[in-house]
Amino acid sequence: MFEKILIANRGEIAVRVIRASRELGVKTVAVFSEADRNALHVRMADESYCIGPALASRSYLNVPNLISAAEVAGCDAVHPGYGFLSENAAFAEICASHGLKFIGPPVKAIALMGDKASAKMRMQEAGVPVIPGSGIVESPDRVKSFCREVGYPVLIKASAGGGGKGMRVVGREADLAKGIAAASAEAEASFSNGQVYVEKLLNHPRHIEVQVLGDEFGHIIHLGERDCSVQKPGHQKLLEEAPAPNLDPEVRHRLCASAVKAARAVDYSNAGTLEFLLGGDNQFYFMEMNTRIQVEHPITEVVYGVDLVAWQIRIAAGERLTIRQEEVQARGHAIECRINAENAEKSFQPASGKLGTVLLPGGPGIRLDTHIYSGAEVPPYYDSLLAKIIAHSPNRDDAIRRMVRALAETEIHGVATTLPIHQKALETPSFLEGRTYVTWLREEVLHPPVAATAGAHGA
Amino acid sequence: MFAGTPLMSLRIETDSGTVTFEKSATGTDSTPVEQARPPHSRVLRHQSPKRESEPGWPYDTVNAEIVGVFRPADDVPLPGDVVEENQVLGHIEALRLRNPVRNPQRGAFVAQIVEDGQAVDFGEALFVIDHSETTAPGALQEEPEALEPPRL
Repeated sequence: MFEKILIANRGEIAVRVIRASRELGVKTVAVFSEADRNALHVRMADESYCIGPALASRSYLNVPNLISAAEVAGCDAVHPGYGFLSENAAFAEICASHGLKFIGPPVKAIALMGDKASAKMRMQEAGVPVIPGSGIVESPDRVKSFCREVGYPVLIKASAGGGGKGMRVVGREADLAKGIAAASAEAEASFSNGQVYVEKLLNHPRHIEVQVLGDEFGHIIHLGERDCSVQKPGHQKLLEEAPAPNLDPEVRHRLCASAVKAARAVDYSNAGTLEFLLGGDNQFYFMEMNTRIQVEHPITEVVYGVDLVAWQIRIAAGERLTIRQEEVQARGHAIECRINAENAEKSFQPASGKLGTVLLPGGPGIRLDTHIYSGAEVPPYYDSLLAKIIAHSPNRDDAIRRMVRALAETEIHGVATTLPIHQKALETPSFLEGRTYVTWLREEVLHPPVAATAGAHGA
Repeated sequence: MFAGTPLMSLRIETDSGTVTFEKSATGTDSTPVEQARPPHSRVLRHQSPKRESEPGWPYDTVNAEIVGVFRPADDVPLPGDVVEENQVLGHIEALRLRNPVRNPQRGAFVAQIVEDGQAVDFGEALFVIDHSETTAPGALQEEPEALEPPRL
């Protein structure tokens, strides 16, 4: 086992890694920016080093100072958390070259999955379903057969695209040529590249992801799925649950099997997540792989009784994963609400400042992962996540009631939070029935109040 | 001579003013009101002194710009010596490189406040220099700061 780990992160995930390390008897080194001098992770760690000014680019992303702090402190491993440098293959490589074990997957897997096009291609080769695409459209007539094959509606996308520019939804073959011409003209105007391709359009898909865990000896298992369909506009997750409600057991089995197959195809080790879109027809498609611990990992931990962060460290230290797939058994249902310093009424605009009184929930079946406390500073420079409330109960209805109770106990003064939007979401009938999809929050909870300002958000 | 000692604060007084250094982990916020502390407060093994100015202070500190191990220059000035702009006062060893610590402007040397071989982190005060004869105090400028985009 390692002697001492440097945690190259801040906030609740740094606290989470310190907790796992302490339980394993491993010493921890926190790093912090000048804006985080009084942060909880700094107080909890055995040692701490200031690595730069408030701006993340000069502190939490400052590789020379991070590596130097690890060397000065005598660390033998680095845990990157999520965000920041966690999916940066070059950083993982630099760690290795300085004799520091990067607690995460092999550099090759990070690099391969970090490139969306190569990841998609490798997954396709491995037999994992990806969203069918036409390739660059040379003439409308040539893609007609593709569109008939996948079925309408289809989505025309700019090859150089981004931000919705050069995108068109086409509902029937008669409109295809017109749609391609319009998308191509828009793409040409926006990116000086008129190339477009056609993709199957999923109607109100769900975001379902599968947790995988593998050791460095080739033993890979899955730990079931999470439903992360409750998302803010802009595809940012807000509420997650495990297992996914109303999921056909046969589809679940195929999803999890695909995830393990995908992880094997890239010789994966450590914790990772495969994200899929699930259509109404029960067809699912690979979106991307996150080669790190996820924000929402606690719901999997409580449902499967597995400490994922401790396993990340143990696997990186060369231990064998002792959990066999047959032993993996979901127990009950878990929901996580991300409490962010954000104003949902104002397009989830981030808030910052000094917190007043903070009262956090507890009691049976509630887990809390947070770094905040009464009087803590919420700096404007970083991710706005304040706390993750996790409710675990024998069944989904009880878990929802437990979460509603926990949210009612929670008080965070001083900044706007996402508490109210969670309360609203949890009492929405379609949520209670387990019928959410990636645009559900916008279409059924925020709408109509926020719809008028939605246009200002995308920039 | 400071962070490695049991001292909790260090006050340097001369005719022209005073400067006080206090260990940061003991709660030397610029507004030391009764700020709530989480229950996990512990004595950190590595503690960097945080600069604390007093009204009318004429001193500047030369601070570490990088994390590493501090080494003083072979010819460390004595208190009262004039130190020239860009004079190398010491080095910070990081990633097998020796990074010079330079005096930003001409002044009178007051003190070296970290030991040879001590680990220093970003912003840690290394030297105290009296710049009062050359410029007015408070000339340090903060860079404008932009917001980071959300990271997930």
